[in-house]
Amino acid sequence: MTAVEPGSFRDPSGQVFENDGRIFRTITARALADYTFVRDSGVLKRLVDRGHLVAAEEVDPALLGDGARGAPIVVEHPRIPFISYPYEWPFPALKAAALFHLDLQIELLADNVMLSDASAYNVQFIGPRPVLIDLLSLRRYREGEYWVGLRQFCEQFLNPLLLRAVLGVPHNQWYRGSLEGIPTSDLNRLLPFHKKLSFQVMTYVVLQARLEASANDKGTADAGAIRKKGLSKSSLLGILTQLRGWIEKLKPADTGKTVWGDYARNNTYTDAAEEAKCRFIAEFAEAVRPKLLWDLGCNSGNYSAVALGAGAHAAVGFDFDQKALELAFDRAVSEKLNLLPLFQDAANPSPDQALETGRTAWHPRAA
Amino acid sequence: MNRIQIALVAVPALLLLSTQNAYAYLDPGTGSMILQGLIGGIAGGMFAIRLYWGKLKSRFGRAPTSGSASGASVSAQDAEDVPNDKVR
Repeated sequence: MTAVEPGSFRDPSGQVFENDGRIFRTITARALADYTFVRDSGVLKRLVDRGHLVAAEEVDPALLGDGARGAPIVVEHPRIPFISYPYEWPFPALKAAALFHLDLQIELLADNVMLSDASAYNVQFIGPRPVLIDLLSLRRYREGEYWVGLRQFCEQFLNPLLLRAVLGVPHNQWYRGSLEGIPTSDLNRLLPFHKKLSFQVMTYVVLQARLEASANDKGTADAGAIRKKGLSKSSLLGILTQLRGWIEKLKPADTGKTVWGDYARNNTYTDAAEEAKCRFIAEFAEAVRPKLLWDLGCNSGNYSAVALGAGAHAAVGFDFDQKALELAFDRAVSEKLNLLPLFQDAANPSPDQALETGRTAWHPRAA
Repeated sequence: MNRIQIALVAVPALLLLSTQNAYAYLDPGTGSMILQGLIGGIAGGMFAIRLYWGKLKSRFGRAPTSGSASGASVSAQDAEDVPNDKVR
């Protein structure tokens, strides 16, 4: 059966389809020129080879039948082990995705390629490694153009990070209710005065919120003049590298103890009981060799690590403790584990919003 | 807070006051465009200086792989300064 992936219905450049468990993407005539530009310049292949972009193999459009709707090109993508959303990512995952987006854009400017948006939903994780899934957001850079994705980048990456880094509030619950991200004006209202006394916060939060507000207000200037003036490539690169340097230094502000953050060392298991649990998990993973293991209440990922070592192919962990999730994510990165720890509160799980927004609920998402 | 920091805060603050209510009937995305126009010059300048510094350092400095402790810290600094460097 062919079904349109609900998250892609808004994109006029192409849509994602699922057909018998295989993932296809149509590329419409409208997006053809940009697609062939990035394909023929070798950028697509380079990014795919490095694992920065999900692979895309051109297939016969007839495979999709009427579903292709006359699209000249259809590509097939490999399945991502587990689709996750930014409101489920712990702080270090959102930070990794933000840096990934900026690094990608900085690199692509050398190839005269621009990312047409800065949607956090276009980034997915394979283990703790971010990967861009929307090849249609790559397009030719036009000399002098502004970074159209800046506002979206701030709302979907920067502001949620600042919420935690400056105020100590995790982004997850708010982001889940505000799928397009944390509005800059709201963050600006929340920040106390002394937190605004930094160049970066003053620029990207205070000034941007004011400019957004005045852009909505009555006044006299026209947008055409600003657009005509343009932005030089070095200025664009300057903004991107400045943001990158700032975000790289962001850390959660609330570093106190959490309920489960110290679980790996401080728990009710005796050494013998823990050994028995590890052995049980290792035997299970070895016998079943699961393609994707769900670790409910994953904590800092100890038992996922055991299962991955014993034969599980990939693991996705769920927990509601931010500190534990951060430990698990950092561990997955440093030990190169194919583990993706995600924020999930079993008593208040991610809802199904597929019909309205394309974001599906938590449990039916297993591949 | 040193003088440079005060200047860095004061400049956008002044810009902020002077641009109030200047742009109208624009979608909020235009706000971020104006922002880029305002900070692009400074950011671009800093970017150029960093690039220049990086080149200067690599010409006169030690090789980034030198074994000494200070050499290691210089190379870490370089990694931060070179914009295209992937830190992953």
